[in-house]
Amino acid sequence: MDAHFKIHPAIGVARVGDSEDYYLAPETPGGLPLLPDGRPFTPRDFRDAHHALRRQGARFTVFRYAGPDDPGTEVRPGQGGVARIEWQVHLANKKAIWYEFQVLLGEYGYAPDHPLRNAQVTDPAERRAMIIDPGPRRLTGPGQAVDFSRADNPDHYPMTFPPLDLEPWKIDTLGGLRTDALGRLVVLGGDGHSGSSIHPPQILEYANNPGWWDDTADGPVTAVVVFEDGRRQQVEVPAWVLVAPPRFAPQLLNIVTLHDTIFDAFVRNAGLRPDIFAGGLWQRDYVPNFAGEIAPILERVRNYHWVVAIPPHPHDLDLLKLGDPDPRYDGLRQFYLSVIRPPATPNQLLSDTTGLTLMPYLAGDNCLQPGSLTSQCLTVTNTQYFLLEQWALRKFSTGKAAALPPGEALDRASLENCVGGAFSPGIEMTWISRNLRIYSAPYRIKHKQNVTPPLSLGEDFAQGLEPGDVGKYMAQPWQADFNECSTQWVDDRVLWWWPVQRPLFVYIDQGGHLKQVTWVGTDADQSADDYVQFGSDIEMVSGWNKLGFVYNQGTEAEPRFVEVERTLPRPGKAGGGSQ
Amino acid sequence: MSPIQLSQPARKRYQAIRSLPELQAHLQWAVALELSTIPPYLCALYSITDAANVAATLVRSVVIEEMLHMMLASNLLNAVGASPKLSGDFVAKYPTYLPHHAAGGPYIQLQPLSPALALTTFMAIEQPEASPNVPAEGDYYQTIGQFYKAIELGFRHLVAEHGEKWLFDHDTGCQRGDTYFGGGGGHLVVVHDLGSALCALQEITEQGEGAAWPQPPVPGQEPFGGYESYGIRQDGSYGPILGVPWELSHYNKFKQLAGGTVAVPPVYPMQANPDTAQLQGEVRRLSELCDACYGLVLSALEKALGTRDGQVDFFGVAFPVMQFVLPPLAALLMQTSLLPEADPSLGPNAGPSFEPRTQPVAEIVRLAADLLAAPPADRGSDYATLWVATLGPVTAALRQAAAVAGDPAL
Repeated sequence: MDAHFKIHPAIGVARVGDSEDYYLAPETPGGLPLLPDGRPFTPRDFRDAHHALRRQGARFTVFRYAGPDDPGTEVRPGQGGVARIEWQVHLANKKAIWYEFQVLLGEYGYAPDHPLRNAQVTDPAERRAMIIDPGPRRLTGPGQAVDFSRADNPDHYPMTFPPLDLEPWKIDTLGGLRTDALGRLVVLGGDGHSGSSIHPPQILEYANNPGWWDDTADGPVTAVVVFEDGRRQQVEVPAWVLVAPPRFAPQLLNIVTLHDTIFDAFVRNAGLRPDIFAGGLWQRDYVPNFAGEIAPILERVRNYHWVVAIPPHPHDLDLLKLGDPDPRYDGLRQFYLSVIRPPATPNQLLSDTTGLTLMPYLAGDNCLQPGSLTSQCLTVTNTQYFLLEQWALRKFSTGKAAALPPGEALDRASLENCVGGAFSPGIEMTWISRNLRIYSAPYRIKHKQNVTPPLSLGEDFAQGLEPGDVGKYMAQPWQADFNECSTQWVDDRVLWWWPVQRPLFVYIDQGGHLKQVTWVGTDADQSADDYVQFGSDIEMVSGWNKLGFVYNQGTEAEPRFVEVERTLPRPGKAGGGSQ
Repeated sequence: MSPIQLSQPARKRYQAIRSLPELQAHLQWAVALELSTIPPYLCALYSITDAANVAATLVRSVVIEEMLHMMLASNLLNAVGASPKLSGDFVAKYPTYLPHHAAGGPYIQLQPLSPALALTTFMAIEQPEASPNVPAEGDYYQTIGQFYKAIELGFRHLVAEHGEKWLFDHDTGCQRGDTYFGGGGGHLVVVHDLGSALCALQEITEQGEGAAWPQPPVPGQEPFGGYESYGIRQDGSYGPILGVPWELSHYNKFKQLAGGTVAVPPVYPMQANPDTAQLQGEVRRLSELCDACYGLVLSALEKALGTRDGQVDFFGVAFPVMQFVLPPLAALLMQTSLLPEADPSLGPNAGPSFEPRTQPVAEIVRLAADLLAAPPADRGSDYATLWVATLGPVTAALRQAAAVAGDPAL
């Protein structure tokens, strides 16, 4: 096989910020963001000199693979006969014209009575005009910049932007592109501006608000490698970029990451790992590696209490014992498996045999609408559960986890830092991530070829995805869902959504002493409108960029995650949370 | 005919703890006291037909904390040079009185949960002190809090008399800090000086009777803690609560059951104070199996708390048998009518008698396997199905424990 090129990460994630400045997405799971100049990241870098929240840029790199066994090497201009890399990205936001988000309805196709957003606009041309589509942008060499803005339209693309009278924020850009000296691309997202064309602006619900737009987006990332001899080679395996809300606790991971979810879909439906699942059967002789496949799940459990009011003690798992293959610890492993909710029973909050609360104590894909698709509590994926079952049977290996080739490590890290559930709708991507028809290969979104304006009002997975087709399901505007997805009543209990992506309770450092307080809102009355959230969603539209980040001031062995860089005053006495 | 005596009976006087053997004796009583509360609470818990019920959650949280208290008392005892005994006279035989209580205390019986049981027995066990300034009482105490106060004064006295180092140099090295997995608050403290000893004692008394406040504290007035456990909040909902002793105390939890704030759910019609000796046939052997498993747990715990490397005994035997063997066996007994022809939904039914039997683990496994192989024929197919569904996993868990204990039965 000839040499070929791939862009990594397969799915890169940029995040909005109200600062012109940016940092780069972490390139390890639970890693800190990176600074473009290579300095080590400090808590002060979450914001710029004016305390505005820095955007997260998604950095893409072209890798060259000499053959199927080649771990891959980064392609750099000036090396190996490569003159430069030309990058092209096309961002769009199609939320305003897609179906309303109603929990899981639509995952297996939309019903004929499923409402569209802004359904009162019926003229197709008018609807197309509601797509935010600045068109593609191209950079042809290192050190260049271009924006997806009304003002920066070098190719005179027939751009569509929302009306100019949006309140409280106008949308003039979806972000921009930068190239660095090493030929890598950085995709930047929007400013976090959301606004309504209906005055005064009101937010009526968590996911579907008529007349609203936000400046998140997504789209294809492609590249051409230009050689010194003038040859041009299209990178065969292109990438995709998602623009999502900020990550306020970048060092913590959700119990189910987006990588887990997509991996599970490919394992169960596409034969990605026949050693785990083949011919419809779970392979019971599969031996997971404790450090690589089990411990990461348990570590996420250990760290949840830094961002939500869960009892730290029972979550303080003893990894030395749990990873010790001595049979004396089998009972302990089986105990922990017994408190993990099996994926087949997402509506079971407590075990009906032991009465113990099943984990995770987090809301599921659908706790909002009764019906056949009800799924009240989050579960680990089937593949995660299988791995945990094997572990509880003492079928696991010890020793170091296998290292991934560098490109795959970037693919994985990018997705590990995203939410893999619950999808109601989620943060970066929703349940469409479980649909294999959107992919051309594992983790690779299938690109629609020859996209010409105007972008489509519909979709055709067989042809591939257009700009905006991954994110169009998400909440409109994202801040509404981000505010409300704090707590969820299920039966007589209050479950949490994604504490890692949307913190609920954080610790503040008061003279060396840690105090647990709400991230947003009050904590006295669990039924109150402002219980651990803003009393109204529209406050989040202007308040998200003032919230604090959760940063590990301790070490990996003895973590101490505290809130830093908050610019929103806490109501009541200084630093006072109260019950 | 002897004349009627009008003299006052001699009143038992408080004898302050003045010597190390006295302190050790009191701590051994403390271990026995904590242990004696566990079977009646477990009986009440296992009697609830829906294990996921709110009342079950409340009772379970208390039982798990009593186990923590027993572990804390054991650490205190090991810290001053003796290891706890969980055998012989230190294990209560039910019905019984609270060990060393001045007036006998509540008459403790093994019964299914009821508001009356919560009121007359459980709240009485966890009775708070009448005021914060009640005197210490050692042997013949009125409240458990006063008993622990005597122990606290004993620690303070011995430290003042002989020094901290002298006292805690007696440490047996058998303390455990890794055996508490409960979802409630509290910490398993390893005791190495007066400060940690007082901390361990405070964990026990605060979670038990709680602070002697008659009412909930005013919001914002309670001492601040982290959100260390879940329970019924002051807003009436279930969720994270601050570490407020009033809300978390066992006394207050049982008060909610006694007063109807938390409804008592349907329970199995278990006969009070089950007695293995009064049973016949397979049911008797089933009850013997349950007693043997209880005995196995106690002997494994005694070893785990009396040896420096108690890992196998605790993690390999005691923990899995407590977790995967005793609860299903108790539930099966409680669904077994005393008369084969009676309707088990009406009872009266058998129940765990908590009479520890000492039996080699290989024999216990064999007994379980024999029972599994021969479900009773005279109780209908539903019962036989329940029998097999219960004893299958129980036998497997016992086999695993036997193998870990180096006693691969069969």
